[in-house]
Amino acid sequence: MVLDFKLIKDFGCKKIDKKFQLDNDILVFFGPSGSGKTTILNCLAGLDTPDRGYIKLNNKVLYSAKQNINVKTFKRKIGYIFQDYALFPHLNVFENIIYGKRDKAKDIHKIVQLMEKFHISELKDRYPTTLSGGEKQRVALARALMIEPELLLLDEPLSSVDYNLKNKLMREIKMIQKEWDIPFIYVTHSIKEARFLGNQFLSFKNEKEVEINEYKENIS
Amino acid sequence: MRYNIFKLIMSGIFTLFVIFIILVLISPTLYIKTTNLLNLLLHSREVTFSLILSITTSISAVILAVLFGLPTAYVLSRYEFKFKKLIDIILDIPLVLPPIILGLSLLVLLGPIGGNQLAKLGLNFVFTRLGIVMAQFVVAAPLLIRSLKIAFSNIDPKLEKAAMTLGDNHFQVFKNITLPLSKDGIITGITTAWARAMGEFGATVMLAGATRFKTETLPVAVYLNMTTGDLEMAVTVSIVMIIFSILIMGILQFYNKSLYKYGGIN
Repeated sequence: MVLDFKLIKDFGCKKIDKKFQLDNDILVFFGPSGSGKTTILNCLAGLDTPDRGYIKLNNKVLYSAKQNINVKTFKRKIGYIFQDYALFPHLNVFENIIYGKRDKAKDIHKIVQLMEKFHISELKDRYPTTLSGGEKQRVALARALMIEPELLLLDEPLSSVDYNLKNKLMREIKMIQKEWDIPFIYVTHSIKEARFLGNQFLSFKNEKEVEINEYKENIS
Repeated sequence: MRYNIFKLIMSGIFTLFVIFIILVLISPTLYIKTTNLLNLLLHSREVTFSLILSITTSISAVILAVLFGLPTAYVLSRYEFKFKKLIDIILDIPLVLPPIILGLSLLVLLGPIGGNQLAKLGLNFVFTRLGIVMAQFVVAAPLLIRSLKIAFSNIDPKLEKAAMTLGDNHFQVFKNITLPLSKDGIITGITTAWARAMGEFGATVMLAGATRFKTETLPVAVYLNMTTGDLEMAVTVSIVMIIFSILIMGILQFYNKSLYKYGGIN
């Protein structure tokens, strides 16, 4: 298993308890708003601390309540695509993408290649506010992949994108996952997105894991 | 032609107010002859002394305010803790408290209460230039903190989180994301805090006193010359302060126009 986690977060009135093992595949966190999908995503990224459990990524323990291990976010090598992409508004596209690289001069060739791959080379001097939804997503993906993550988290990245663009971007995400061959965790409350992208599912609606076949039956 | 009565009344009051403010600002120049003014501005030791003292002390006070204000504003805008609201209100109190009361409190704190201990460390605030810096700092810091707090709160925390996932530690996030994105608020805060420090009088007089050629900042010079009846000198110093205020407003306007408009630079 590439990713193995069990995370428990207790809010008093609500308890989130999720466990999953994932290979280089797309796992969809599916459920309504406020059901704890982003909380678990943040725990995986190290932006939030679970109350109990563990996270193992490529046999490295990133978090373990028992062993008192909690690797800091900036050391986890986990890419994160936020809901509205969180591109840095004061940096242009090029600066955004190369942000995660300490030795920027050394990686200049890599960024050029990545920008070509994502068809955003011509956008390199533009600032995020001038980009369309699709362009922003590609820049966010390129930025997250530039750090060569071992896991990519995507938090409802298509929630504010129009219908036609959404289909195109979903295909792109699927293609990129195959190409990079790392686990993706995709958060959504859209059945359509879940169906198209997901190979495995973790439901946050009924507080239990649902296998793909069972899930497909449920939503068909 | 029909007149819009509402517009007429509003515009009339507006015009009266603008004329009044302009008159207030230019009245000192109407009182003094230009040759006398220039003579005093260029040759008066007192004007030069108080101008230099005001500039050096106010800059020191603003540097102190930035050192304490940046972390304070950051904590208030980012972290949740007990009594946060209360602390926030306490930090704003110097903004509404008469400076003379602040000065008296500082005098008691840094004199009878803690003066001896501080003196052992080589810090004497009462009736010294250090006292001027302290008085200006206490009055100016809340203004800066208020401005920084708004600036920090306007930054989407997701941007800071994104930077962390890209390999930044907390210090790097603060340097690379938080500070550049709050640049406008920082500049506005520093400028207004500096102007407030330059104009500080009440707290300064209470803590540092009003001694000619010792603790004589620009406002203190106006006060001293008024009490001795030298209205021409008082007016000259006032004009220096008005020019300074115009410069401050100019800087603010310049930054408002040239503020980094994200996306405007292609």
